[in-house]
Amino acid sequence: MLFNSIDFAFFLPIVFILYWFVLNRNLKLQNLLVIAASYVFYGWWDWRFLSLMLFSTIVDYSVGRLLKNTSGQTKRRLLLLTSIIVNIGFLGFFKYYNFFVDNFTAAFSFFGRPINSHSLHIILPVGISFYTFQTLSYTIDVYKQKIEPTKDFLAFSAFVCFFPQLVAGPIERAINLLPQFYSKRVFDYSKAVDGLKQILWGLFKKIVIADNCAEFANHIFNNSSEMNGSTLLLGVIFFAFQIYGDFSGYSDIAIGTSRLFGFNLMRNFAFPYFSRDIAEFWRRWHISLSTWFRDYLYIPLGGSKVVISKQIRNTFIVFVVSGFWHGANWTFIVWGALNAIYFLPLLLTKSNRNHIDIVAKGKNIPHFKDLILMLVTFSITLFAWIFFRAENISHAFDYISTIFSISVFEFPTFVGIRRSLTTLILILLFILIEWHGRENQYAIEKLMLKQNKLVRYSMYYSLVLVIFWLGGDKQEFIYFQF
Amino acid sequence: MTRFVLKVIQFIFPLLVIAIMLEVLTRHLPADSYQIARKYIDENKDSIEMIILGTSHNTSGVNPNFINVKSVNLANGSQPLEYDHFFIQKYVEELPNLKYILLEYSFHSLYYNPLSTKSWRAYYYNKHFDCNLNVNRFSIKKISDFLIQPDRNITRLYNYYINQRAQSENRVDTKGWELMDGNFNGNSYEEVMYSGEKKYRNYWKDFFKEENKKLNMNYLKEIFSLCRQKGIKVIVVTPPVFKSYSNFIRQDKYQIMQSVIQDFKTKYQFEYYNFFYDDRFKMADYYNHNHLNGPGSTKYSLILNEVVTQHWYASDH
Repeated sequence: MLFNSIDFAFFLPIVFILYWFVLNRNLKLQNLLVIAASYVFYGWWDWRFLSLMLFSTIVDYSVGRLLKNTSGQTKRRLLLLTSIIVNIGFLGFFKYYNFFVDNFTAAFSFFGRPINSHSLHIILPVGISFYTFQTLSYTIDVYKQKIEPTKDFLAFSAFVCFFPQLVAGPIERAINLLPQFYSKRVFDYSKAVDGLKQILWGLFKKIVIADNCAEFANHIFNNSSEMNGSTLLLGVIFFAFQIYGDFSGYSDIAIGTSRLFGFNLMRNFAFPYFSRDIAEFWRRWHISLSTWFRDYLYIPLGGSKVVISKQIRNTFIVFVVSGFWHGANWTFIVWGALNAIYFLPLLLTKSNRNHIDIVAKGKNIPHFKDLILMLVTFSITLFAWIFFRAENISHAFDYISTIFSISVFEFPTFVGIRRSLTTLILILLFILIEWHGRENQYAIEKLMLKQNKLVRYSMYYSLVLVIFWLGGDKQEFIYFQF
Repeated sequence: MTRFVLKVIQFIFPLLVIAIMLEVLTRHLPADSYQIARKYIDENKDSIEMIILGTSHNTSGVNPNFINVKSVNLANGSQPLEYDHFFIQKYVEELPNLKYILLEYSFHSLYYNPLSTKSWRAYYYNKHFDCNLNVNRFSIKKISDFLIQPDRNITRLYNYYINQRAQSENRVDTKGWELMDGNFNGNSYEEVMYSGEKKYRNYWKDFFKEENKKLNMNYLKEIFSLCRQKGIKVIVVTPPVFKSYSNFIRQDKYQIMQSVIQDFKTKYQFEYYNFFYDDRFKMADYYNHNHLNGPGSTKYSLILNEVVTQHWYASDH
């Protein structure tokens, strides 16, 4: 089920009413409702893959329980390995099987030993990369004795399949989310109102910004061979705002929805396009995944407490694996490697933690230096997005070579240039609102809070109108495919 | 909790009232062209012998009232071959007396963009003809007449309810033919030629996409093949256009368009009539560069009537 669908508009109030008005006295029943609702939410897309999620839940719950009762290190490792093999095995089969088969076949052909291979028609289960990472974090944390394994199967199931963040994150940690399923929920009026506001802002980002940008980004990337450099440059800018609006919009809706049910999810985006270097960008973009890789890959590899050559190796491993997590395509691997290359100068000069606070804190306009740094960071991010969005590596190189040709000084030409201007104006407005609210959890959190009710309500109504009026052609959330 | 629910209802209520009001008012606007054609078909299911398909060139060009065969004009503005194909698939089964298809094959036909899910036209096809093409599942725009095209509908509502002006759809007669009334806004020949050159000189730059050609050729193939299988005779026509259009097309693409239809003709044995450069149509016959006006449409329809009655109808009866 999509957040921006009629189904969800009916589904959410029904679950909300049952949750708070019918089952509010019984925690177990509330958790059971969360599970049932989550399975309906997921099964709406394809019910066949529910079994996969259920299997993953049973395996990780059992591994957790067994880890509690096992003291021998070898046996404990074996249990952890079981969880890793099951989760990564599912992920590997559904997401990467064809990639490896195709590449092995190509490699054998290259060396003059062609082999017959069989690619399978495999449907990628939505959200598999998200919930497998979430359950993996649980077993790893139990193994490392950071958390106590849960006895409560219902709470654990609800933690794995919690519908607001099930298919595209934030990838929650058991240490944060699981205890919330143990404690009695108390309805908090201001939290719920805040949740609704965040949902509204998320819908604006998705439907107005991302979906409008998607139309142009798709058209330009799909017909890039026929277009000049300036049009292609515009295309990648549209894509940058499409992917940001799409993914951070989803996260806002997920966090807002969770707040309606009394849950606090971790923050996933913190105004990444206002970053002054790539390290700051990665502290602000898809935070739940970046910190996952930091905690479960970078630090176990030695993190930054090893010699510099190993730090470089670790950085490359994390970024390349992170790229590969996004999809079984060389473009994602190059995108990851490119980000690692961007990171290297910061690592070598130990300046990767120079920009911790949000830019121009407490001020209206940034210093000139910060502005330049933001523009440079945004530009190199755009460059990397080309690989992320391109069909394949040669498409990306063709795209880049046209941007770096003389035709970048020509006037952009493509069908719908007038509508694209409207979209550019919307993007500008969006940047201004984001800039104004950059010190908050999400851009409109405190916007006009000091104004009277009429002004505030006018703003909310305007947002609703803009969503209906200027919403783009409905697109699936990009991160569903990951 | 109850306070929260009440506040939410209080917030949503005015929006709902406005939304319902706009929806009801939009649904009470005079019928659109799609609805009119559908109504005529429903009322004459057993007697319709020919359906006219294509884009606005045929909507305004072919007047069924001048054709001796009982016909309905199902051509519509920007109607791609995908929908012509849909209509044929639908009506070869539903119209027991259907004998002929008059299919438009214009200069642009092979390269026409398919409709997107965003298209309000796709919504109307779905609404009036149960056509499930290009429609987003569960999108709110699938069920709302108003939201499918809010800016256009606001104008329509304003014109109809406030300005008390008749709808443009009223120019569509009961058989689906649309009158385009006027003649180049009264401009002179020189002005018309100048505006045609200005409009079409660079118009074709991004138009000829091979992917569209492939798609549309496939629809043509399926149309011809289905009609042959069902014993329906296809008459393919390229409607007339004024010099201010035909002088500024791409000749290489015109040749391709001709060779494609000739190849199909050889394979599927249908009749093809090309009026593209037909000098029987003068400037006075046109509404604009590529659409016939009332008198032009009468002239064109009478010519087509001759084609249908003499070449086909006569041989059938």
